[in-house]
Amino acid sequence: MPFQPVILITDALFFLLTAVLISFIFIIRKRPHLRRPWQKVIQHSTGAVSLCVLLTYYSIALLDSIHFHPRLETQASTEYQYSNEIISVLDVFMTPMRTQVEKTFSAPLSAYSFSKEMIQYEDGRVEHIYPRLKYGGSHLKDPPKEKSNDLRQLLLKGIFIGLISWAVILLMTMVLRAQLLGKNVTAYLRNIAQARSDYPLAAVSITLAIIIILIAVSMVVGAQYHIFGTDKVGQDVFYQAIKSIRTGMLIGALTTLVMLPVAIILGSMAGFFRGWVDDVIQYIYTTLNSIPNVLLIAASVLLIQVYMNNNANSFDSLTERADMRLLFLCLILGITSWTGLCRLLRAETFKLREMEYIQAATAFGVSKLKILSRHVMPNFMHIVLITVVLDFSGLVLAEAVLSYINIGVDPATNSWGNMINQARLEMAREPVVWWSLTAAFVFMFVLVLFANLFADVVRDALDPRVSGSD
Amino acid sequence: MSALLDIQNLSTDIQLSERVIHAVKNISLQVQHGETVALVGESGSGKSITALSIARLLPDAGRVTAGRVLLDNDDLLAKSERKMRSIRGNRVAMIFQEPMTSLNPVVKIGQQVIESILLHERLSRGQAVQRCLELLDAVGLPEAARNMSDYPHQLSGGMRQRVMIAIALATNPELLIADEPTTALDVTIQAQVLELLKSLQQQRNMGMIFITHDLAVVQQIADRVIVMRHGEIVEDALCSDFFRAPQHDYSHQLLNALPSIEKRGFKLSDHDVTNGEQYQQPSQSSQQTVLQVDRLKVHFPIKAGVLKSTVGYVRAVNDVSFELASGKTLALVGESGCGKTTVGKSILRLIPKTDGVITFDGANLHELKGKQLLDKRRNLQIIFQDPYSSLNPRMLIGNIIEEGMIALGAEPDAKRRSAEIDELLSQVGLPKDARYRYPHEFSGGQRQRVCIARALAVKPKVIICDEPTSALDVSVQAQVLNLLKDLQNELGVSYLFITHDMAVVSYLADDVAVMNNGMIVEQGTIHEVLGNPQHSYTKQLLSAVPHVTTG
Repeated sequence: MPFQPVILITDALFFLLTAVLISFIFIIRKRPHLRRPWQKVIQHSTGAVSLCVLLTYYSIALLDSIHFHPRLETQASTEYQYSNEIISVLDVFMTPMRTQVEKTFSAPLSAYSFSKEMIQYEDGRVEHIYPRLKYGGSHLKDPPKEKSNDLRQLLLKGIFIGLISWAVILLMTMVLRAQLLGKNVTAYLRNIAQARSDYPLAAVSITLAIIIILIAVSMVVGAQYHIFGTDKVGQDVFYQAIKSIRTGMLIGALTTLVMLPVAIILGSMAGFFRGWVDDVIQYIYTTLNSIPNVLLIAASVLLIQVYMNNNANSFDSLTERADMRLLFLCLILGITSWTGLCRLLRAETFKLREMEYIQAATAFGVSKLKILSRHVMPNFMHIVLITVVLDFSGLVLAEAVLSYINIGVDPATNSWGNMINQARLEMAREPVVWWSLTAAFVFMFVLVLFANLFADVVRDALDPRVSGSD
Repeated sequence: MSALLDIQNLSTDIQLSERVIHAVKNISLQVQHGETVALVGESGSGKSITALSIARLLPDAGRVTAGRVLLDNDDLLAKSERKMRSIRGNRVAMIFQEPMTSLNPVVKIGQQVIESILLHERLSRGQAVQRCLELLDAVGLPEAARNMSDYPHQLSGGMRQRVMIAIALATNPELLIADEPTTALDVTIQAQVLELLKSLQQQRNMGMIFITHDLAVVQQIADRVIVMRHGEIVEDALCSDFFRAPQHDYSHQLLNALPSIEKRGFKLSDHDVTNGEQYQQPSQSSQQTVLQVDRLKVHFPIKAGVLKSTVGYVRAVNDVSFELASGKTLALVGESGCGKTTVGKSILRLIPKTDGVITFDGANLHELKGKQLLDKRRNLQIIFQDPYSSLNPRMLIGNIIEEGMIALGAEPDAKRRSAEIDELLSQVGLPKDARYRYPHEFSGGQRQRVCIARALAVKPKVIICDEPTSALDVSVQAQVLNLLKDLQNELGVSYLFITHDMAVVSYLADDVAVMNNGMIVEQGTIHEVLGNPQHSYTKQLLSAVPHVTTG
């Protein structure tokens, strides 16, 4: 085998989440009344576009979650030797960016280092200059003259490749779809051309074009230059930002996964049963709320750190250790962040339990558990959804804050928080090193923005009172 | 003399997200000085939008597309917003339906009246207080001086509506627009408020536009009746002429849809009752009691203090006894807060009782548990007042109806259950595909039909109807009442009909129990109680009910 697969715990959870999402889609597809609101979501151009962007992020995170030990090139052909290092499928795609490490800082798309160095020539001459980079723009003979031309060419090449692959993908989907529907391909294409579709095909295909072109351009340019420059130890910042997507998505998704069941179950129970159940649950979350979150998180993260230091042998690699820490961060964030949603759901359940349809269900002798699951929970799901997406962006930001005070993810893990944390010192330099912060900001901003846009559309479609009669 | 208000070819559109509703279509009407014009119509007929167009208070989505609104030959629609502000309140005043939300809950009512006086007139504070006292006196608040320092929540609904009227009249308006001012009030309070409005209007020679859906109120107060339907005026007639001989078919329909004691035994329809279909009287043979309530008491504890000790009780239901015979309808009548709904809910064990015995079908209902209780629940169902909050908005109609059948094990076989749902839907007059749709796709009347189908699904012997028609329009109410009557004849169900509407009672009920302050004050057959009331409260209630007399 050319590689040895590794499944980290967070990978497993991420795959589980993907499986849940896919089965959810299958369930919805079969039921017309559940399908209708989601159809509305993708018929809305904002919804479809943000879904495209989010799916792109998601697939990058997914690719980055398939880990393995690569095989080492050895002479012995009978026995394979695997590297100790764990890399992901995404790393394979981004190999030049991953491996081309410079000495230290370099500006975006630069061919020279960012700081002056003493260079000793063979003739004994010593000069204080900006040295050429080892990889970035190393194919150029005279960077100041050739660079802009070279960049233009690479850009055009990237756009060209992007456009072609976009056209191929688009055409293939259409042919496949026409065949699935059993229609004539030309007639189907003509239909689409005449805009006889309920779906915002134009908006989606333009979004796809932009995404594919961006990917193609960054692959082409990234192979020769450092798109977002390099950081203090010479690592490609663009690569770091892309790798951080997985961390961001994981923190958002897994924390939500931890927090949701607790918040939903406790919140609806407190609101529905009242009495001592309510008292106990309220007591728990008020207590939890009155402890500063940062304190709690710091305590637990430090605890884990001590544990991991004492049991260093039980971890095969640094990656596994970092992964463990990430998982515990998700857990502890989940435990501290369910109280807000729980409080909201408790109040909503208070309101809902007085609704007459719940009294009617009681009159039918429907069991309390069924009333909770069929009448109460579906009716506060829109609140859950909105809170989840708002929290999602909040969690991505919380990760940044926690990394700032060194209780966030492992410093070895790529994350926007760590990038911003490093940028804190870089911003104080003169001339300023702005690219780490900018890269982290751009990637984070796009994710959070489209998540919020998507949430708005989903809420409008899911809430029967908003969508009204049609 | 020219008309006080002259509306010429007014059209108003409402812009929804995907379509435009022509809410008011090219209507013209006049109001003279000292005249009360009633705008009558069912919900969605455009009567409120007309009123809002006059005062230029349309919601953001609304827009007047054509026409003129002349107040003393002065076009209101052409005025600047600044000028309009001084006209609103000064010359045109409005009273709204909901006295609970029209007053600011954190400001004393005296302050609210004084504020509106000072807004339009230059008076010293002392003079304004004096004026306020006069006004509150004029609208009949018992102790004006003391009430001035009350907050809105300390007053009853009727008193709050009086305060609203006082605020509206603070500046001697020429035109008063009253948008369903009595709909949220009890009958006895409604009678007082109507009388008050009438006398104030005559004293001050105001023009009044009275918007209502209640024809009985119209007959009491209006000089002229304008009937609206789908944004158009279908009839404009003097009040006396209208009730003697309505011209338009729709007016006939409205009048015929009204339930009354004369129409007992007939189907409510668009035709005159004499041509209407008559019900055959169900056989009188099986007169056994299905539901017996004996000295029922429901008290809610009032808790206070740190330890939440019980300091007293709200005696919502205090010693109520009645019997309901199979296939009969017993009406439980009373004003809001008299405990009638609590009785219904405690029979269903939705609210725990404090004392008393409820015997249903030979078993003491509150002692049953588990399987036995489920069995009895099958036979006892409820239809609620508000068709909007009584259906789960996230469930399909089919699932809503099915739920009870599953929970109570009425029909274990899925295929037969499905067939039964189809049958139920056709029984209540809904299309078959309704089961795959959500509640919000239906109108109020249709939703109430779904509620009835849901209750019928488990084949109950008794249905408790908690004001099932009070949220509906007259014609829809007629349909629902017909449906209930049909089902009773067909299936022999008994109804415990909880209502405040005497007209419905007189049309539908066999027996009546009148409730006041948690107690039944009078009980008997419909003819005994309505024809010859004994208790003073019953007399008071009956005299307050406005009656429509036709012909």
